[in-house]
Amino acid sequence: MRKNLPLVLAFALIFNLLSSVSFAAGAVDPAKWGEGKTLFKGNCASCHNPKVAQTGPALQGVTARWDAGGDYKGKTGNQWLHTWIRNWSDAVAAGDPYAVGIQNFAPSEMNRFQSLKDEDIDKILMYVENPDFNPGGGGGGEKTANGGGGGLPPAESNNTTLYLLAGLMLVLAGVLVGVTRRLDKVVDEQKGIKAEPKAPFWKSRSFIAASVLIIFVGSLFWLAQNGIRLGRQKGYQPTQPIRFSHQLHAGKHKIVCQYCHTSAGKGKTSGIPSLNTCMNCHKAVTTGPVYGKSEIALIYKAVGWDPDKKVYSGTPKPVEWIRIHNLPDHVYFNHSQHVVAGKVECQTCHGPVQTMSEVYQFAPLSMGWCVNCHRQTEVQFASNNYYSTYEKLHEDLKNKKIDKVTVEKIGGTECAKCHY
Amino acid sequence: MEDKVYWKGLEELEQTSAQNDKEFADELPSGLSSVVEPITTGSTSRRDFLKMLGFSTTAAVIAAGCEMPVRHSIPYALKPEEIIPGIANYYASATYQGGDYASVLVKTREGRPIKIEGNSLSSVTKGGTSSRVQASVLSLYDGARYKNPMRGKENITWEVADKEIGEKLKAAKAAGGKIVIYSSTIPSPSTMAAIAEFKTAFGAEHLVSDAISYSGIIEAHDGAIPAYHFDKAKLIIAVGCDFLTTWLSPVEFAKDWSKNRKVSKSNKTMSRHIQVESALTATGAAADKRILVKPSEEATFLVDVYKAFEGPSGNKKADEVAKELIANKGTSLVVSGSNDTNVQKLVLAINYLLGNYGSTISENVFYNTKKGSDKATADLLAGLEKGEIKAVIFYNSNPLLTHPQAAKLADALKKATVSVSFATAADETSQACSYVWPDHHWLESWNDVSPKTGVYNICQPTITPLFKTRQAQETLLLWAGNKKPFYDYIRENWDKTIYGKQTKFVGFNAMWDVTVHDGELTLAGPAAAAKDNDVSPGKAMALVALAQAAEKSIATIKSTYGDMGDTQLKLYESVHIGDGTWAGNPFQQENPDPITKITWGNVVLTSVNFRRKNKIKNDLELKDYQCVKVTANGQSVILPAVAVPGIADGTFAIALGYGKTVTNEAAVKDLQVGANAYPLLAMLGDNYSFISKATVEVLSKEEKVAITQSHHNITLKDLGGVKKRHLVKETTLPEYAKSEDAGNEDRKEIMEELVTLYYKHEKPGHHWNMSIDLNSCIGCGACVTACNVENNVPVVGKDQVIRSREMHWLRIDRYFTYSELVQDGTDPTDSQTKDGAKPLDGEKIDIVFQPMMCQHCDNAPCENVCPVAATSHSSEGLNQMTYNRCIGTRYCANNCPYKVRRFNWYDYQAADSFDGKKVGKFWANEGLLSDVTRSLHEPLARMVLNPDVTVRSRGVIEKCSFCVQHIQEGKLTAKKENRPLKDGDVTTACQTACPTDAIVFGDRNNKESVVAEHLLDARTFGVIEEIHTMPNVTYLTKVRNREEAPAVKEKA
Repeated sequence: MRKNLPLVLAFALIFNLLSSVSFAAGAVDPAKWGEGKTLFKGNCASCHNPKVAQTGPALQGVTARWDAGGDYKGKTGNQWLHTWIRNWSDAVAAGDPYAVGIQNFAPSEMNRFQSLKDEDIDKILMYVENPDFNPGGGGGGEKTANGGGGGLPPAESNNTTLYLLAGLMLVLAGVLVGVTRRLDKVVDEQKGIKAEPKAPFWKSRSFIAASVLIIFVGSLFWLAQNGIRLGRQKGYQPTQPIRFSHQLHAGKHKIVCQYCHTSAGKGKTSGIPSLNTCMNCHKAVTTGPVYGKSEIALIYKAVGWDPDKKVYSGTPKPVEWIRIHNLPDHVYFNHSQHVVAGKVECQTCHGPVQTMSEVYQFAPLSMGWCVNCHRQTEVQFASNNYYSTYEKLHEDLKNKKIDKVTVEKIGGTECAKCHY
Repeated sequence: MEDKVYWKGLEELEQTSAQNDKEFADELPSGLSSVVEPITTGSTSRRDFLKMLGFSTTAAVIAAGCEMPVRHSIPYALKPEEIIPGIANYYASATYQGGDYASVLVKTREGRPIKIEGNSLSSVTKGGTSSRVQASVLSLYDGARYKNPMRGKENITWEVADKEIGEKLKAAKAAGGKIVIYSSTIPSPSTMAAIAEFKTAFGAEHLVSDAISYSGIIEAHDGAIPAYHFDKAKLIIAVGCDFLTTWLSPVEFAKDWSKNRKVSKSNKTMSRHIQVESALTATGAAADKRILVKPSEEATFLVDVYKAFEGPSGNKKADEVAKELIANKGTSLVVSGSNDTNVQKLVLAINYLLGNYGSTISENVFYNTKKGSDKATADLLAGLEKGEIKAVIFYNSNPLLTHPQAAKLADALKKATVSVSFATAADETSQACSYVWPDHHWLESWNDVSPKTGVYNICQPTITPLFKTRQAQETLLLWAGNKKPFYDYIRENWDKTIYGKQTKFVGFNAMWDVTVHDGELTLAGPAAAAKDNDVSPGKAMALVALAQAAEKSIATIKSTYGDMGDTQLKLYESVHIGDGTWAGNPFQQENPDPITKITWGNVVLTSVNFRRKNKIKNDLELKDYQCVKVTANGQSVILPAVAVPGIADGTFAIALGYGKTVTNEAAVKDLQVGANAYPLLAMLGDNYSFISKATVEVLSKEEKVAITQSHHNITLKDLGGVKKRHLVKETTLPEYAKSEDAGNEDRKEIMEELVTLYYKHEKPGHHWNMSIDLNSCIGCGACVTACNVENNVPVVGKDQVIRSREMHWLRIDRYFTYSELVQDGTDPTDSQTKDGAKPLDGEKIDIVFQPMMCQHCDNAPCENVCPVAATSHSSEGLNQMTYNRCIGTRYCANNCPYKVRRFNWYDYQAADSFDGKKVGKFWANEGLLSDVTRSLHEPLARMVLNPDVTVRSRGVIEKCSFCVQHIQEGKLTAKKENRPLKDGDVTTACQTACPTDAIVFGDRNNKESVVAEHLLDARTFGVIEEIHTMPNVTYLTKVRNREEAPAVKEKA
């Protein structure tokens, strides 16, 4: 069931999207409706949606459709529907004309749900017929938990204001110095003291020496700074071939990171999801809140899905995403080491991805940044059995010689941990 | 032991070269500096300096101003379930190439095969590999492979090819001409079935012949070679037979042989191995005792042994051997490398008389890997010449290189109306054929192999075919009218022929799936094996008859070998090049031969006394060697002469398989080194003989030989010379039985004397250590290639090797020594070397192999001298090398006492070159390099690179890392699985490749590890420990089972 969790989440999202549309509801019992919703999600949601035809047909109005099929062998359409849900082939075998008519709706057989009782089915149907009913009352739709603000404002903007201010002050200081000098001169002239003709200060030796030194040191500093920055791209925010929003998927809909980035817990790379992962949800979700159908259509095109006929008809072609987080070739980095063994949150290095509608590089990914973290972060020393062989460190911990075991203590800042 | 002298080459022993006086050879030895002339000889003017300065500053500014390139991340469109990017998948398979069989695991990364490992579930090779098997992954990405079918030199499509060939074959058949498939041995049952279908459809004939022939032993055994069990033999007599590195099934034999070579506190016995040979082989080097004979005497010696069973034969050495054999009845094994049926019949008789059949030689299990007959080749030539054979199909064979009468055959081939080759890469035969129908590489195809009776392997593809090739079997089936894919064909064939013989599985699919997964299916019990035999059950009877017939053989042997004169030629299979199959593989060409340490080409090996007598020039520094002309059987070759201690006087040995002449566009000229010695093969009836009478003429011509024996020398005169340093230690089994630290007595003393001012490195977690058993090492070089493939070690080419610039992280030092101990303290070699007054006795030469890589010293001399801390010590005992920090001062290499650090003189791997224009065939990156190196810069060849290991650029030092990528991976897996690291979780590439399990790697802090156990062994020592480097690589003393009372006798 755990595997289905993301699916369930995905459908929760669908309901959210569709929740603005309201259907007329009969007498709905909120408690039964709630139970029905749970049952639906547990049993039916992998193939059905109340409003959208997926593997199975859209279900809203299903009771009416069966009833319209008429009574057969003394059972109403609704009763045949119950039989169908429990074991569809019973209904077909018995010869109910509506059942016979729809048995070939989809190429795959419907599952059998023999454990469902009549009242359970009634509850499910109550939910199916009134998917937008709000048991809490009030307006339509459940509230989204996270409004999701935009990306973080770039930190540099504050500094710019400061620099501007500093520059302004400097100019002001200069003006003031000039004014004072002129006033002094005026005072001197009034006193009758004649100013000796002075060589301009920029011709003085000490000034020339000082400026040469300053320029030299300054350019060295500039060179070093730029040299260090070379190849770093903090804040890099390219436009991707598909305008995929993490803010929508991870933020608003709370899809866990590793639902798509499956190999983050297994291998070296976190894994950009392949198109079949997208299609898990986007087979059903055909419209997005911002770009409507246009961006999702790009997925369909790449994977070769025909959204009208609901068949894969084209040749799949991978999407060429632009890589944001680049490490030099001589650095070995392993995601699973950090995610599984180190239990580090994705956001620690990637920043608040759930708020980024367009992902940018959050961390500098410099060696200093890596090493700093390795110096400060504790390893899972007590909980991971791997570390049981580090007897001396365990003893030191016990004797309070050290208060924590950081990555550095087990050799995490040594060269060959990342460079080989 | 104290006074034993070890030396690496003659020049060192004789001190003739200036080489030994310097710790380093000149970086640019005089006469070799042509490529860098402008810088070294021309005076660099101030103007030039300013120009260079200006250029480099501008370049730096431009580079600094560049934008970062936009990089893409391209996921799978639809991700295959079993692939997780960054995690390797392993697939069981089997390889049979050029006569070499191994059951293997293929490591793939993101769908690319990048490494071959041994399959430990195999009952034949038992997880062992050879250098050839390790290197074969590179041949998949060989640029010289055929990329589509061809008519002559013209590329055609499969449709056209199929149509044309169908018509031509039909026409040939209609005209009454014979259609022939000519191949090497095909141990694949399904392929043989496919060929049978083809034969039926066209009335064709299948001729089987192997380049390195086993006809003699096959004929002696009435059609099949029985299985040998070296693990059951307490006494092994090998006569001219290099069974550890080339003969019959070397990986299997090395594995079995090594089982009885491991001595320890609890097991102080080992097998005794006597090698009777003329040339020096790796097997001879590993033997306890060598008996040196002329090539012809390799046959007559056996006659003497046979006679000595009944009474003195007149040959004292043979009498002694016979005596030992009789003491080991039923537990001995005599093998011969001869291709003479009569010699092999005699060997059969000897083994039969000793009761070895049924114990060390199987009576009902036979090899399927060697079935060729030399007569087949003669038939092909005769048939073509007479015009009877109208169509010929060459499959896995290259007779225009390997046939002694290749020139005649090439002419005769023109008479055929159609000739087809299934070659994967361009070779001599395929370029002479009217059509080439390229076969898949073995890593691209489904296949099956049955190496032995009752053992079946499935080979599975690990990559989609790279080119427009088609599997040969499918082609044959298609012509025969069967359009089935070969995969289905194998399954059907297995269902029909193999499923019924086994009892382990119920249901064909169950059997198939498990076999594909494990790589091997063995039929249980001897009964099943017997059922599997294609040899009649009257085998035991035949044995008696064959043994009795031996008397007749003796007369023939005497007349054949009785008078071959004093100058004899011995042709042998090269350990790395094989029959020539691997001549196109750069890894193999650059792997030094175990004995001669020669790369890139073959030479004439001579005895030391021959060289001294004729004053043949060997300049080791400039690598100039004087040539000789060897003539035998009306053919001659001219090759440089290299003297090797331990070769019998009058013996001239030449390796086969060299001297390729492929003119194809894709062929790399620099790979075609050496001279072809196949034409020198003698004929004995229908069979080839590797031994013949010869004449040798010394020429004044000199040639360069890329010989590595004096490179990275640690036996230096100014450090006490060869005499004082404790590099290798050895003892004899009786000595060892008396005292466990025999030969290693001085270690205790050394360890006590060592005091240090440095602080001790703490090892809170792991402490990695490697232990190498000198007793098991056979010098085969599988570890070297495995290391090269695993760690992206570049191939530098002949010219660079001559300049001592080979990049191998792991080398195998081969030391010669004199087996007699010194009684009065004088050097036994002195009187023999100085003026050549007394000839050097080759029989008394002992050889010790010592794999040498970074010793990961805890007191590392290299670490202290690095100005930028690019090399440092880890808390796990690793000496770490950080390439991106290295500025190339080479101080570390200078200060390394083991000489294991390698400097990238060029951008050998094209790591940081920009794409430019092509110079000749290949990209212009480092245009000064050999075409071989540059051909490996092509995108196709780079697919073999291991993505977990940095590709080093020009100007940095590199060295063994203890496969740190495996260490990190092993630790991570343990962490993810929430468990402590177990012994065996982390292995190095050299360790897993080793066919004799000589290398053990592990965590010495884990008291249960094998390495920790070895460290407590009294045989353990470190190389030149007395200088207190505290190496983390230790060695176990070599123990030879000789003199006094051999252990085997105690039980007899």
